[in-house]
Amino acid sequence: MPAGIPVSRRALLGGLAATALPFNISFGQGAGVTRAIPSTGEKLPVIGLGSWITFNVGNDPRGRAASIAVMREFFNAGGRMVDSSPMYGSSQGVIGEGLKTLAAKQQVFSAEKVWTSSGRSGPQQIEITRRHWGVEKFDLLQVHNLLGWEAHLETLHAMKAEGRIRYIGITTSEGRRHDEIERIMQSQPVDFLQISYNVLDREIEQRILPLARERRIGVIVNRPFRQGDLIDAVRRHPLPVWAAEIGAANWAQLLLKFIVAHSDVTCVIPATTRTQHLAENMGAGHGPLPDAAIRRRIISHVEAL
Amino acid sequence: MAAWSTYRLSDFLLFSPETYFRLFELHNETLWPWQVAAVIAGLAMLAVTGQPLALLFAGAAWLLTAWLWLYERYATINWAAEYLAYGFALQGLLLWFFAFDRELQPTDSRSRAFGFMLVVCALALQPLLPWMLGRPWQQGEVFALMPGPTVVATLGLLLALRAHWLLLVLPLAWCAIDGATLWTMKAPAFWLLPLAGLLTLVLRVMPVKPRPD
Repeated sequence: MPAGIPVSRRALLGGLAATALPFNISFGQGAGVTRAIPSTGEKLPVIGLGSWITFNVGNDPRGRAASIAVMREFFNAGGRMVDSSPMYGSSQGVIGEGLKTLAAKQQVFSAEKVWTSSGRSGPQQIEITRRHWGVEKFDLLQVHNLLGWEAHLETLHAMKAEGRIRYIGITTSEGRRHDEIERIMQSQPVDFLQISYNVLDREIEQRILPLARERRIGVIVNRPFRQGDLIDAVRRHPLPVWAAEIGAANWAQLLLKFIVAHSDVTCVIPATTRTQHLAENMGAGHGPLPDAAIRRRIISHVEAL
Repeated sequence: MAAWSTYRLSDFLLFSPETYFRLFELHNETLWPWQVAAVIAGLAMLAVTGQPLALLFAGAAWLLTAWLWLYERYATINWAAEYLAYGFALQGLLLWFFAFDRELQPTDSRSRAFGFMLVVCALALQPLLPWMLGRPWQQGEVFALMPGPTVVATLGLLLALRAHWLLLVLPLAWCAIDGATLWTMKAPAFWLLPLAGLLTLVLRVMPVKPRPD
C-alpha cells in the first residue's frame, strides 16, 4: 500500500474482495492502481493528466511554472498519461517545456490528437504537435471530436504500421455523437476511445462501455468533474463518512474512484492548475476501489445533493 | 449539424479567467511606458471628437490593437485571435478611409454628448476597472493598446459623427464577443461593452426630434 492514504486494512480487504473489481486491474510498484490497455496488455496508471484550459497559459512565466509544478507532482506520484490537443492553445508547448525541464520523456505516455477538417493537413499538424512536445514519437494519437475522422484514421493507421505511433484512438466529449462513435468502434480497429463519463453522466454505461469491452478498446475518460462544475457543486457538502471505506479522503477522490472502478475504463484524465488538487486526484489511484454497491451509493448520494 | 446545438459558450473558452486577466498585466509590463503616449493620443482624440480627424486616431488605435494585442499577445492563448486581428486591422483601415469622407458631419447634440461620454469612459474609466473590481490595477486596459477601450472610444466617435453604418459592424461584433467571453468566465463587468454597443445602436437608429422653431 502506498503511504499517506488513510485506509484501514479491513476496508482494503473489503474493497479487494468486491465483485466490481475488474480482472485487468493491479496494484503495482507502490505507484497505485494500474489498468491494462485491452489491445496490448500494457499497463497504465488509472489517473492521467488532462490539459484542457489548465495548461493554456501562453508565454506567462508564472503560469508555465505552475503548470510544470503540476507535471512534476504528477510524475513524482507515478503518473504517466498526459493528454493534449492542437485545440488547446499553448498547452502543447507548455507540456513540451515541462517534459524537458523534468526529464520525463521516458516516463510520459503521450496522448495527443489531430484536429483539422482537412485530411491532407493532418500529417503537418501532427508534426508541429510533435515538435511542441519535443518527443520522438507519440504513444497515442486520437482523432479529436471525430473531425475528419475517415481521412485521419487512414493516416494514423499508416503511422502505426510504420512504428511512428503506438496506439490510435478517437475522441468525443459531453455526450456528443455517440451513435457515430459506436459505428466507428464497430467498424474500425482503434485502440482507444476518449469520452466523457462521471457520476452524473453515465449514458455510456448502456452501450459504449460494453462495446469497448467486446472490441477490446481502451477507454479514456474526460470531463470527470464536468469541467469543475461538479466538484464545485459537491464541495459545498460534507464528504459522506462511508467514503473512508474506499480510501476517499476528499470529493475529488470519491468522484474519480467511482469512474476508475468501472472495469471498462482504462484511465481518467482530470486537469488542474494546482498541485494540491493534483495530489488529491492522484490519491484516487491508490487504495481500494468502490464495488458495485458502493458505486450505486455514490450515485444516489450525489444525485440527492 | 445537430451536434452544434449541444455546445455551450463555455465549450469555446480555451483559457481560465486567471490566465486571461494575467495577459493584460503582462501586456502592460511589456509595453510600459507606451501607455503614457497612448493616453496622450486618446486625450488629443477626445479634443477633436465630432471631427473627421478623430477617426484617424481611432484607425491607428485599431491597427495597434490588432498587431500588439490580438496578433502578438492574445493569440498565445487563443488560436482564433489571429483572425480577429485581421478584422481589427480592417476596421482600422476603414476608419482611415472614411476619415476622408467629405460628407462626414457631426450628429445632433444629444448623440454628440453621449459619444463624448463614451470616449471619456474609455479613456478614464476602463483602465481603472480591474482596480475597482478588486483585481490588480496593472491589468487595466488602455486605449489603443487593448480592445475594450479602443472599441468603446470608437463607438463614441461614431455617435458624434454621421459616419457610414459599415464602421459600426466590427465594433458591435466585438462588444458581443467581449460580453460573451466575460460572461462565460463569470466576470462581474461582462455587461459593459454590450451596454455601450446597445446604447450606440439605439441612438443611431432613434430618429432625431426636429427642434421647435
